[in-house]
Amino acid sequence: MLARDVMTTDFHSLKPDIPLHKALEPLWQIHHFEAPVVEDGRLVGMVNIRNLVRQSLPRYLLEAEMGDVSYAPDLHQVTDRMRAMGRKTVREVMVTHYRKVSADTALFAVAALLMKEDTKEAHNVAVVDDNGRLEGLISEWDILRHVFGQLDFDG
Amino acid sequence: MEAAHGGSHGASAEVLFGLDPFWAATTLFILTYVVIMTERVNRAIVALIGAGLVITLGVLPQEKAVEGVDFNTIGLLTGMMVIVSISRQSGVFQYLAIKSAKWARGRPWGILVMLSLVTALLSALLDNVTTVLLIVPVALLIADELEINPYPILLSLVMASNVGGTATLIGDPPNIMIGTQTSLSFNDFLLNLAPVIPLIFLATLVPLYLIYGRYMGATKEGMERIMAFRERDAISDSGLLKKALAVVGLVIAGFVGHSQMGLEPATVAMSGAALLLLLYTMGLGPDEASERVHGVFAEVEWVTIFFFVGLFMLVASVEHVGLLDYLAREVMNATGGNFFHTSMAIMWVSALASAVVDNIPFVATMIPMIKSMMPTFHEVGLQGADITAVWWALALGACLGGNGSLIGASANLITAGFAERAGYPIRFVPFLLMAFPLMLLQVGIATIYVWYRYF
Repeated sequence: MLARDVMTTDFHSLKPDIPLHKALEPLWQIHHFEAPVVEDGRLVGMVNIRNLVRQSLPRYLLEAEMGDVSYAPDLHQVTDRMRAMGRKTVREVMVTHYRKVSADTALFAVAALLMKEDTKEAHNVAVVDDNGRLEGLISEWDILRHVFGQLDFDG
Repeated sequence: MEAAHGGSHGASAEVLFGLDPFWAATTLFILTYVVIMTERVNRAIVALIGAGLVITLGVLPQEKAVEGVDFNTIGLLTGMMVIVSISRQSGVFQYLAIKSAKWARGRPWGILVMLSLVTALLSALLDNVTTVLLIVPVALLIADELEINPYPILLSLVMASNVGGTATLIGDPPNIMIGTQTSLSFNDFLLNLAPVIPLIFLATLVPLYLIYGRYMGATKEGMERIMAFRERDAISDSGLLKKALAVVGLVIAGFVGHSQMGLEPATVAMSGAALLLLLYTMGLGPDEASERVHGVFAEVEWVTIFFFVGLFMLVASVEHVGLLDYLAREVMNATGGNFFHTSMAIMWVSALASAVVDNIPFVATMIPMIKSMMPTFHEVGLQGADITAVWWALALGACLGGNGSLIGASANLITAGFAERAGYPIRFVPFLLMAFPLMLLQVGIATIYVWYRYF
């Protein structure tokens, strides 16, 4: 099986130059964790929910050895930072390093790429053609649905 | 040539390519230090390549190079790193940082003073880098809760860690080297260096208060948020905390008594490390135990350790060919062997040098040089002073000098890294304009102290 056999082609893509709070509105309904950012048909980045939460926390909280910070009272900076982030454009907050494959990549290679630790924030592997045009997205869910979901357990 | 630099110990016959060992060693030594200063290549790599070349070119046989490595320094550093890497997991550092903010009742200047005090005390017992690595993030969190600019607090913490580290034999790498390569004990450092440290600490706070402190204010809500911290929750493993405190207590007792017991500091630190490792893995299955031991050893800063190894070999090479003897004689000629003038010159040159370059290679070179000055000092006369005064001058100059600029000490760079990520970057020149005069003040006090106490 190849990437093209499992990829989702009906995804909601975002435009890079609109403010984040506008761009995220349609996503509230569909509960997607990640949305591709497309400019002139080409994939330029991903908006990732997990990464947005990360961006709204002070970096020392995540990078330094602070232990479990439940000893501290709430920081309203988080709300302030989210407000500031919402006013930025999609381009300013998107993740520009994402995993991509071509439609002809073997399924096991796609699955292995999805499991890589260094990109564990990302939810999807992007399927792009030679010109960088976005053709589809593949998540763990797509792989499970197309492989596991097709198995016959009654035989 | 032989006459000019006092003999090459007859090593020239073995040197490759007909190089004169004196010039080969000197050139390699200077080249290595220059590359270390540029910070383009990791300092451990540079030192090891330098050491490898010294041996390969035949300047120094491997046997002599290994002899040059001070395993007392290496053992003390490694042992303390192991102890700290286990202890820090208990959350005790975060606890102390929060507690000190609450002692100050949440007032910003009070927090600056208390956090600096805790940092100075911890730095005196642990290495400075670990201390700021653990205290600075909590300081940033506290500043965020107070909604104040953390810059004055960070500046003060940098100063406090370098000043506090000066107080003991184990506080700072220069002291560790001086302590392990002379016959000076932990208590000698405590009795001779620690008394002046509170004075230097307080004197540093005065300008900080006048420049920042009197304008530092926070809202009532902010201070209430500080008082709402639950520091007890920072202790993540109270069982581990008890074990760590017991071992640290034993190790400190061991340091205090090491010379009476005839033990070197490295033995005390390594035994403490082994004991804490035992307590830390007791009752665990073999797999889990070995995983923990792996984890602890992985936290040892091997870059620092291998840097020391390479450096000691390089210093051994220039000592072997007579460069350090030659330089020592030149210094003696310049100062006429006057003990007071030489000690003061050593303190100030060390301070200025440490502000711009890493004080570790500097002190590693100075120690054998000063040792070869000793006979001249005794010959010319000590002016009623104790011969150890020159070591205190070196320690005070090299440790306090680290405050002089952002690149003066590793703790400064670590703090700057955190500040940058928190959105309050510490820039080189503004830091220099504040820190360099403060460093001059600190070394000035140290000068008066050494002069008053020993001469």
